[in-house]
Amino acid sequence: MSVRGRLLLALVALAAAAVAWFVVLEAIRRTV
Amino acid sequence: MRRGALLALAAVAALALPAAAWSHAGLVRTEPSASKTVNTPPSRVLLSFTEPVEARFAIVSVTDADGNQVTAGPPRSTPGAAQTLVAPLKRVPEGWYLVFWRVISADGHPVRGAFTFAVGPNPGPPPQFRVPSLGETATTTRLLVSRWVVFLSLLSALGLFVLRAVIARPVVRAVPACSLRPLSVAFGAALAVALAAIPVYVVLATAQFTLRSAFDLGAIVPAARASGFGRDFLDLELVLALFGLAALVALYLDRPEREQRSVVELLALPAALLAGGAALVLPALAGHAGQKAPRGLSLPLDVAHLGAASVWLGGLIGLVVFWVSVGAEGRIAALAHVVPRFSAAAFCSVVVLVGTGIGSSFLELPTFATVWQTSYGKALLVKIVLLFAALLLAGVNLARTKPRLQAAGVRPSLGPNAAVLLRRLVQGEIVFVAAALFAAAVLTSLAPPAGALARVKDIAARVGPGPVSEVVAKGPYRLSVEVSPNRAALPNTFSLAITRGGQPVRGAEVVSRFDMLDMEMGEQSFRFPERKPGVFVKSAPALVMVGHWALQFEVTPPGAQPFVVTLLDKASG
Repeated sequence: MSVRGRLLLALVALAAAAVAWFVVLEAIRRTV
Repeated sequence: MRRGALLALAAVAALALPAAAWSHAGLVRTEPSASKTVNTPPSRVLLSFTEPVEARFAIVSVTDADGNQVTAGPPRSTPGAAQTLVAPLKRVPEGWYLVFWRVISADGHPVRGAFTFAVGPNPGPPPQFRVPSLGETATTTRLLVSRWVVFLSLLSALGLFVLRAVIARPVVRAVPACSLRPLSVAFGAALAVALAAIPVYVVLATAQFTLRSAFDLGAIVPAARASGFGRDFLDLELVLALFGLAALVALYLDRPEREQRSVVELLALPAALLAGGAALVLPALAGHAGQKAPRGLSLPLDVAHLGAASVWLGGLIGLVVFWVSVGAEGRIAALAHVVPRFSAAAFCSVVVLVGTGIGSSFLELPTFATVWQTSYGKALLVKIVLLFAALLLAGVNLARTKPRLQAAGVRPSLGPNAAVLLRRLVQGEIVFVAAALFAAAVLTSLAPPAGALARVKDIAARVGPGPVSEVVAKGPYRLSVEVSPNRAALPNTFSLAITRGGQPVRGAEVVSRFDMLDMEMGEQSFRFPERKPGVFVKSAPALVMVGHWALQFEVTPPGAQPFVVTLLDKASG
């Protein structure tokens, strides 16, 4: 895989983590 | 020295406490007031709870003495006050009414209760209402098993990922013959089980909330997100899927044969670990830690507790997978590299597990005695014993197996036996940790002990269920206590006969306090009139709910020091 492709995949992982934390923070806001 | 430290650690672990304890909604205020007479017919019944309740799952039934329903519609939440339910009433005549309620707590546990009120001015004598069953539990077998599978697979998946991506990774450079692929496959399998188990658990739990069959999916699925508990677990499904995506990317990009991680690896791995951390917050939020003040402390403690448990459990499972998958020729060398690294991580995990467990216990348990006095405490003891057994095996591994594996490079004869011992002990550890996790699943299905227990001291006698006739001595006084019929939500007659030296004590002031011990409720207090010399009687539906009550009699004999006698009563439904 090209370097650009690998970087794109890493950005996908980062985006997934960001969305996950967005969901969790929203759940915390809802509870607290 | 090391073994001594281990024994000390194991002893401390005996005090290690629960993963998450889940609270239950408590009724704190009603309109009309429980057990009271109102002179104008109320247009509604208002129930105020300790936490938000979902009106969609709530049942509020108000019936007259003949069992006729007098509610004019389903209960609704008050705008801006999600912890308050209002049920409209038809215009009701004078008489006695029974209010039966069932709500789902924010943590997903059903709670039921009943109380009476009267419309005056002449309601007449209180009738014998037929009270519906007030017992309902979240500890059904299928809910327990599904909850256990969810936790087992979730924690295993997270721990297997940490073992594969962080702990075991360097072994590929040290022992080129071995592969990390089986660990990745095991991680994928655990993740798939968790992703399948979570929706099943939510459906089963929602079926119980709505009192429907689990196969009535047309009604259950739309209601799944209506409860706070359902929302949190469905969010967990989403977050876990996102973690799975990030983790698969991180594993795909990983090149363990290179000594230094590339920039993309350094981006993807922390992203996956962060997403995994996010997945740990939601079970804590859906459980008691999300409801228990101070949340700023209980939530981080619970998340750390779950994280430590995942590193330990997932790592153990990963070690067995690794042991089996690595060929016999490279096994000793590979284990000699991986086991010390995992031991260090597991040691830290156990320290965190014990520390956060003790911290949670201080928040959960109002008194030390609740450990053996309540079902919650007993489940906790079982969990502690199982973890203690797992720690003993871990101790042997740390003190015996690890050094022998490390020494096998110099003395190869030590290797094979140490490897076999390691596998047996680790498999035993997995069984005990998985069993402790089941105990945690039971524990989190039970109501934690009420804080009211801390207020009750010097219990003179334990009485009930059923009519009570108990004689207790307090200094020179003898008190004969009778409660009839000792049933919840009905008018009960409480009688206290006080004697001193065989003579009735006249003119004493007797005040009784009724304190619900199974959930947080307002305390009720009554002054007892003297009906006969030395006999103080009060008839009141003071036992508003089924469960344990502290009956505290404050007696002030004329010209003498007041004293208190406390009975622990169990009122039946």
